[in-house]
Amino acid sequence: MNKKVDLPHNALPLNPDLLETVQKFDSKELYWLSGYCSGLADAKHTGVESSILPTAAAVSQAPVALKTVVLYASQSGNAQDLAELLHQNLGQKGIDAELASVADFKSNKLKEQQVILMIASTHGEGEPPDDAIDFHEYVLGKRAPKLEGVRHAVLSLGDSSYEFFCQTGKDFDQAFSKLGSQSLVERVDCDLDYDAPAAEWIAKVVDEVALLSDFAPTADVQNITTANPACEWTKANPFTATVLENQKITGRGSIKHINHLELSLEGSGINYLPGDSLGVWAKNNAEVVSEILTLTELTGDEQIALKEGTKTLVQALTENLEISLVNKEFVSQYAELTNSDALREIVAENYLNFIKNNQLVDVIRFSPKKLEAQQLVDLLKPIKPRMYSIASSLQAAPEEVHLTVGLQQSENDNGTRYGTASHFLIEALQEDDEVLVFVDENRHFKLPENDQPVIMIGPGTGIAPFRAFLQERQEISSSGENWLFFGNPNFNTDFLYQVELQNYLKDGLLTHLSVAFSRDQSEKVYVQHRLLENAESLWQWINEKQAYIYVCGDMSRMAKDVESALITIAKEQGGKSQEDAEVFIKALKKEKRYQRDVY
Amino acid sequence: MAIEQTKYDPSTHSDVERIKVESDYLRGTITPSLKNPVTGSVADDDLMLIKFHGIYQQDDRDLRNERRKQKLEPLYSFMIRARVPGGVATSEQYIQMANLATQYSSGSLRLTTRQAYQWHGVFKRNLKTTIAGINQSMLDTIAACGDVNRNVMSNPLPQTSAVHAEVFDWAKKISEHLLPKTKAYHEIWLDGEKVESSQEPIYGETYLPRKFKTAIAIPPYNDVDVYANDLGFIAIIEDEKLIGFNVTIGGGMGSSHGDETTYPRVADVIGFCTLDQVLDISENVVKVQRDFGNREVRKHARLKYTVDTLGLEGFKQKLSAYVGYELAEAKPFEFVHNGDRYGWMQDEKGNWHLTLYIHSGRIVDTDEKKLFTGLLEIAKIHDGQFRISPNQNMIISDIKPETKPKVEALLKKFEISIGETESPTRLNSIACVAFPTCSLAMSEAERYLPTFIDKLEVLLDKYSIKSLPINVRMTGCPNGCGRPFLGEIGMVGKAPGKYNLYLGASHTGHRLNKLYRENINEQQILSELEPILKDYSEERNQEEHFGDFVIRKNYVKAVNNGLDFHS
Repeated sequence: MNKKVDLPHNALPLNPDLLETVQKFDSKELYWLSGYCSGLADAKHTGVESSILPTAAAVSQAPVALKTVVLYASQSGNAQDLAELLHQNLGQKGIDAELASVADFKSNKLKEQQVILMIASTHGEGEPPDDAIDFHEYVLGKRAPKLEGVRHAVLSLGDSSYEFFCQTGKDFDQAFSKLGSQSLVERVDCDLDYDAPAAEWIAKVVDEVALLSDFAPTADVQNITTANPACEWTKANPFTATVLENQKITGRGSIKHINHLELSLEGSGINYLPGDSLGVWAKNNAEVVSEILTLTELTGDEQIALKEGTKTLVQALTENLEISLVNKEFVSQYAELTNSDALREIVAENYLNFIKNNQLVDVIRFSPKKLEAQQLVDLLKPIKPRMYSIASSLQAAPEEVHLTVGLQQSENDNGTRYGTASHFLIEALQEDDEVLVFVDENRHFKLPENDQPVIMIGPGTGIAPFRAFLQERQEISSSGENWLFFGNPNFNTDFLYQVELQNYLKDGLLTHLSVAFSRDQSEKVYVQHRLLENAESLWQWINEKQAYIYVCGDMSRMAKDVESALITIAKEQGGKSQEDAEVFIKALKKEKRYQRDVY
Repeated sequence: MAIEQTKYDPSTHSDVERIKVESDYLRGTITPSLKNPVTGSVADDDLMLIKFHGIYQQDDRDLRNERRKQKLEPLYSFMIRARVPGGVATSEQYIQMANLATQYSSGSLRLTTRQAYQWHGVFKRNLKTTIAGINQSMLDTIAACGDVNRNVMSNPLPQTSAVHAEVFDWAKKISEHLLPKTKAYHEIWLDGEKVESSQEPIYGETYLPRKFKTAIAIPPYNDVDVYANDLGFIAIIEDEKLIGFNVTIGGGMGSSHGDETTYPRVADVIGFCTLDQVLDISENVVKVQRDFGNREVRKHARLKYTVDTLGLEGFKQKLSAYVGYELAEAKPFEFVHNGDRYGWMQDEKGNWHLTLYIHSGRIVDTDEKKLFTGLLEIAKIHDGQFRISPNQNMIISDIKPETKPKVEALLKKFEISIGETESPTRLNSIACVAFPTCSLAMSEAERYLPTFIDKLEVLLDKYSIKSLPINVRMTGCPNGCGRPFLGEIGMVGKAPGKYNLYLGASHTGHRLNKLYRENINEQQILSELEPILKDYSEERNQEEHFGDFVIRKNYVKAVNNGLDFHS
């Protein structure tokens, strides 16, 4: 209804039918119409024949910028060439549009557009070009934004000897419409000889956009800043987040199993800052629950009493009680209850060694015994939430929180034992499942207030908060320099967030990226080796540029080795004695220029 | 006539020309690219330059989508191709190449249709070590790919002709004469001293507009597919003496789907040259192509298009002007076929030569047979040569009579076929690499061909024509590795599981095939072929090859000229 050609040019302004029609228009359409009418009036005033539609040239006022993007999904470069041509032709009409490959276009910018012009090629059996797969998935997926009030036009390139001719173009066109956008110019599907139809489409699109721009209200792209209600979601009252994505990010053949999770915080009003952690209330592994029930000869249907109220045993074991981490009190009590000398001996002599590889269920397995349900429950402690360093910035991923989770597992005589939360997050959670979460603020792990340079040392899943740092610094256009040290066993499979980091390097957001893959050569190389190799520049960053140093990851070995590397650098580059170097590093900590999030 | 060498023209020439000019004789930024630890790939411009060093960057396409979701870059690795003139290596060299495959590549060697060795799946961090290792075995990878003259092919079987050794020497001489002279290779891969920018007396700083392939055939065998080469020599023998060569120009396989300005083309014989003219002619055909080849559109840059643009006479005139004389008239010769002869053969000296059938040229251990290990074990006891045939098979040559039983025992132990059990059609089949590593592939080839042949054999059996050899060529794209347009049955990939079906090439390689059906799947291919095979079984003339039969019976028109390919 709001296509300009549908408007009756010679209609009487006071015709009640017309007025009634106009009243049905939404605000966007009315804005357009008001511009159109005023342009038409101007045109008449300057003597242009009324039966001719006004064009950009006929109107005196400068075109108003409609936020317009020319996107291309190109396999061989043809779509790109056409997109460049379209962009150039728009420019000649004074229309300032953005030109981008869908590979480089940030998908969360899509909803800011008012006009989306897309040139898409199809390859193989109806597939999008390789570097357009992500965007295609996004636009056709459930995370695509509403595009009401947007206008779009699609040109598809293809080869009619294939069954799914121009499928990618069709997909985009239909998806845009489904999301609420209205077609500006009908889609054209081009075969191999695309020159003429493409040129025709481009000309039409340019005319339409020009017309639209002339009469649109000033594009006022709002920065949506929602009021931040005081966050009511706490450890005791966690928010039920929905899983948007749960993706393994270590490649085939990796010795590590690490997942990237994206959770939706939509509607929660939850705020967090890069460096904060997310508390996760994990559910216990169902296999372990049934293992315990079998060993204690219980069914799980028994009613038991907890502080929270009465529940079935299986519910309590799944959601309320800690059944993986061993505590000494439990082992002692269970030893007495089952009269186990073996367990008594472990408590007395071998406890620390024992708990390295054994979980609570292994203790029960030592001395299985038929128990009363309440008896079992009274032996157990309440489950605690597990904390994960947040891997995203709210600026970059509004109403989302991302985690980088490594599956904790170890072997013992009874088989493989898993870390509760990592197993829950990685193995049990599927897309659309729910998980109870809350934000745990970490004031001691924050980006500098100003744009000071930062040195981030985060091997393995220790990279998580630095992904958040980098996202944040990109979104707020911070000019601060960023140097990331990352390490993992193998380059081919374990380079977490590799493509994102490569793009940050390309954009210049990352000043340096130093990587250490310990198992790719005969001698083991870790992040601390990379620190020492870069001693001179690092010292310059620390001493002259007043850089901030952040370390995240393994506490027992990595963080120690990194600290001694830093001391060595202070000694060798700063000409300090061992003692002075240690004092220097301590002082950095005090000044908050050396912050750690280690576990 | 004064020769005017083409100068780079940024306003019209393709971007690849810029890369060559800016590369300082093929150096580019290859060294920093190798050192960049953040990616397994090399910089964009270096992608083109490493080809001149015998290296292609590839990625495992089976994993591409999975790794995209994992936020990992594609699993990049490199294919390295060794330049082995005439495909001849000693046992010692073979052992070294096999060891490099075990250490740094996917544990297999691939023999190419141009008689070269290839290693696939070498990661960037191992690239330099692998190439240094190849050079230690006195082979190299210079100009195995890239816009230069590549590996020079020649007939691999010494006992086929008294002049074989002499012809093989010419292959080496041409290869060396046309080798790039830049020192970039030694600097980058062998830690050679950095020298001032080198000169390229033959190529100049922009090298050739496109790849350039040379082959020498010894009639009556055309196993090198001489007509598929930019430059070809056909040995002319009188009284068992090599007196010179007929010269062919303008062959080439590559074309693009849906673009009729591109086409495969069989070469033309343009005359006869004496032995003292061979290097001069080679050099100057290269120079005419250097100066008249199309540098604006790469898919029109092969010599075959230069020949059609200048006209055959026009090209010959340029060549005469460059060399300063006319070629003599071509001498008569005859080709019989372009396949291999499998099994054991004894020469007049009493030594044995064994041609092994190697499916798609892939030397690899599988559950059925331990080809890789078996050949390596043979190399350890055999004091002779390993020769690659242009049909991607392996000829173990100069086996002493006393060694023969040991070789036979090893063949048995590792269950290696000598081509006795396979049908002639299977033995005459060629596939390119395609998925998962080739970036150009649109469909499977090497991995799928055996399955396809299984199904084709059912039909051949049904119509009692299994004993007749039919050349089957399958490639994942129309670019021409595997010479698909010289297959009596050619299948060229269009999309996963879909092929264009071509019919009607000659069995001797002098006539191209023609598109019969477009974009069809296995089921459709087999049902298209069945009635024709039935017809062939009932109606063929004495000794009539399948390719000739489909022409006579009008299934497709004969393509004797590249320009007829699409008409």
